[in-house]
Amino acid sequence: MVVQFAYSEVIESVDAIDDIVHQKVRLGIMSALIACGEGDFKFLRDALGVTDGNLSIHLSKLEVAGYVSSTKEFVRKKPKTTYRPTDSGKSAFINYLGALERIIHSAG
Amino acid sequence: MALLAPLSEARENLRLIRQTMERSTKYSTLSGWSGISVGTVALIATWLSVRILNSVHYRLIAGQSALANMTSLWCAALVFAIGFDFAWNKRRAKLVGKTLGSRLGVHIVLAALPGFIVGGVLTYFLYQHGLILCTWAVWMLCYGLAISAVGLYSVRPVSLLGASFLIAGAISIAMPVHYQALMMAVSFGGFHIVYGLLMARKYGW
Repeated sequence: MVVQFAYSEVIESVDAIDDIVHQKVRLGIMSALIACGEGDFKFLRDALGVTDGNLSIHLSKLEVAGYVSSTKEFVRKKPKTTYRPTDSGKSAFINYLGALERIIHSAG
Repeated sequence: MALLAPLSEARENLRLIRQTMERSTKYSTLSGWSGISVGTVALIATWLSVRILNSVHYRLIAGQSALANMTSLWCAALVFAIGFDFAWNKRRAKLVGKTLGSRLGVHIVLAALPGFIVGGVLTYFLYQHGLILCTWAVWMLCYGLAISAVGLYSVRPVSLLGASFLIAGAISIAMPVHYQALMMAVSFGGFHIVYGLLMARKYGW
């Protein structure tokens, strides 16, 4: 009975997982931005150790989902984009953490 | 068995989140130039302090005006040190894609504040009770306390700097007064310059 209960809990938690946040690079981006409040492209690239192209694709997906907002400016004639997590991005991240914790507790 | 895949993935992702958050917040916005500038300001201020104290010794100036000169000197040194620190760290933060006003920056200021407040209160107390010559050791201790607190949010050289000041302060407070200037030059001057070089070597200018 215990195993069956835990199993259904895990299935429910897995179903509740947000696919946008679940991908490794996007999860890293959200973790870094939530920890620091904001960060530019170079900071995210160095913190995550990913290529420019890869980071760019995943940032676009997060922006389209409304989880990250960006501000573009020119610093010494060079373009600089700063990214911040939006309110819906923050709650998606918290919900994702909750789902992970439920999986671990239910199965453990 | 079916539970094992999501379970191990959940554990792995939690580890990834923890690691990324830690790496992001510990990524230093502290500049090597800041340490070198603050150290140089401290060396100049200590040298000028010794000249003022020598003037009192040879009765070139009265004790009261020496006290006023010392107060002005160290207030100016504090303003210069904070100014240099702010300017260099702002530049460094920009280089690594952060702002000083970020959540981490606020945490650092809040962590350092109690040490500075206690330092200010104790300086006033010692001044009121004619124990002004003990202030340098107290500054080392309070500054060490503030920097050790900042070290909790930052990289290892910051914690080492804080610990060095605590040790220097503890030694200095037990030493004769005429060694205090030497300890000031070693700690506020030397430690900051060594810290600046370490930070620059490890994390860049």
